[in-house]
Amino acid sequence: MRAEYGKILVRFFKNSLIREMTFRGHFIVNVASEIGWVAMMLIFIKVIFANTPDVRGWTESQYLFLMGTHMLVTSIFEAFFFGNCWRISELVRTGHLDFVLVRPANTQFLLSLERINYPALANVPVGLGLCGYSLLEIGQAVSAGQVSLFALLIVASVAILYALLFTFAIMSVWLIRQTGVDHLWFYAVSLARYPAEIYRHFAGGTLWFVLVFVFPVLMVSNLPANVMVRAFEPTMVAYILVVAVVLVYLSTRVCHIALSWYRSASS
Amino acid sequence: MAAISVRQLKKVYKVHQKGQGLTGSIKSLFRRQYKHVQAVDGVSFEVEEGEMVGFLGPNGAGKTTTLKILSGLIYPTEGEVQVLGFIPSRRDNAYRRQFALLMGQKNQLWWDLPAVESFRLHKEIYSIEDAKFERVQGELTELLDVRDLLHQPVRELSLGERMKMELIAALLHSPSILFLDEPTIGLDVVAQTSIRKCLREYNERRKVTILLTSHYMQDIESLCERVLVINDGKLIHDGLLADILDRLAGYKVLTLRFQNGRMPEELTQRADVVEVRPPQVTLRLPKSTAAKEASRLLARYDISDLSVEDPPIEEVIAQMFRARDGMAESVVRTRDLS
Repeated sequence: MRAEYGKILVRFFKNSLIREMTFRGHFIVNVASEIGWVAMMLIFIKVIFANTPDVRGWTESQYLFLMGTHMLVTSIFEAFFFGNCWRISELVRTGHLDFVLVRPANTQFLLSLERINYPALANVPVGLGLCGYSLLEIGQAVSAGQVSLFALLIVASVAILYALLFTFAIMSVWLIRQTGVDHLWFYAVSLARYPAEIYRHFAGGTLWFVLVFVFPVLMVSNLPANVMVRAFEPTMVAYILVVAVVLVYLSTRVCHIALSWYRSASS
Repeated sequence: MAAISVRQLKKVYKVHQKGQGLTGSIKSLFRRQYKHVQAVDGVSFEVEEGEMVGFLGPNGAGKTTTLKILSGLIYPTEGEVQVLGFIPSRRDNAYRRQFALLMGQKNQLWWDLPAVESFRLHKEIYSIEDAKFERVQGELTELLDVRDLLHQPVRELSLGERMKMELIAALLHSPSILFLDEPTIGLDVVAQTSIRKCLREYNERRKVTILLTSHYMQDIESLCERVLVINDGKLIHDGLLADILDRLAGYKVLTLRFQNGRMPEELTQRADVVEVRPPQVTLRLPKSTAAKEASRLLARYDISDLSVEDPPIEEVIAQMFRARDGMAESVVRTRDLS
């Protein structure tokens, strides 16, 4: 007998939705704050391009596409994984991880997807709208191949962010009180929001190197956007796909080891 | 084969020693000092299928640690543990389908949702068939009398109602082993009784093996024939609950009630008086001479009523823990003797 993960996932979706419904005010406030944030970002872009015609080769329309992509990646991640990663240290500290560990199903799966944050999904159509609008402005035709590659790279981007955040979060088994998940997320999102090229020309490219090869958040958002509105770089595309697979694999290993160290806070 | 078999189980926790106050805290940031705590120290026992065994011991004795090792939450430092032929620390799904863990101080139900939604999640996680799920849920809600509360958010339930829901969640997948850690803690008498009743019925019907820790003697007395008494990580008694009294309580409690409320002075002055509450005197007598002494007193004084009882189990066990230093060396294992 095997656990049927599809059915479990559907139940997670349903239960999260029921929960969301009971807190209607919470839903509205969250969606409103997400939309407010988008408006601020749009104004920010306008401000930048009032000062310069391009940012290291990115025109205003291309930049808009990057922003739309970034919004897609981050809202998908926030909807499915951020809350769950954030909750892990709390589960460890209180010992409630006990009840995840006794279930006859993959522990990492249960930890990663139990709660869906629906308000975050509000930014998916907004992101898609921004991307579509910028494509119209650019007036360039995109092929079906480009669109599928774009979709694949979005998935890879989300996977990279997930693997990094989850690995960091599960380390709370050793650190017990570990509330750094939201900080790490803030850094990742803040850094990945801008065109990767701007980091190449700072500090001899050291920061760029670190953000591409060590803490690889820079390819997230940037690469999918590149494929659509700028150049297609096969090596970078191959690189991001490999990084996504390797990091997700590593997260499962770290999770396995961490859980064997679990001490379970007293009842 | 025994359902549960534990041999020479040891668990050592490495505990970080923090200095006192702020200075101490800052110092210990740089130089960590660790203390080794022996939570379980060479415990061995076996539990047969369908048995209900109680785990007794003061806080920090190692009861919960043992339960956690048995359910695969934490790894043993040393020793062998087998449950239904599985090694718990491997966390096989096949094993995890077969047991349930219920903890009185931690909740597994979704706080903001009606309990029934958590049950439906369990249905998917444990792959319970629709018909069986409906039947078991129906039976249990009936047994615990909580049918009307199924659709109320868990956070709006009383502690007792919530605990009943927790119990249902634990039993939904028809486990063959139940680990219960303080299942009735903080509950009122009615809720306690109802949970005990459910456990007893469930044990009779399904032959489920139950290992239970509790601070309430009532839980143990009404559910378990056999008890394991653990203290300081060591097993100090493994046998029938009644045997604890026989072997460890070397005395009986004799209560005398006097006619007309007149109590002889020499009696209330005796060294073995436990309580004087006119017209009643309670004495503590060695078991060997209790009967003789009782008849002697009966003949000599004008007594309206007399009772000879075993001392309360709580008291015997408390006494056992006080005397543990001498006792731990010679483990009392009545099971092996009988």
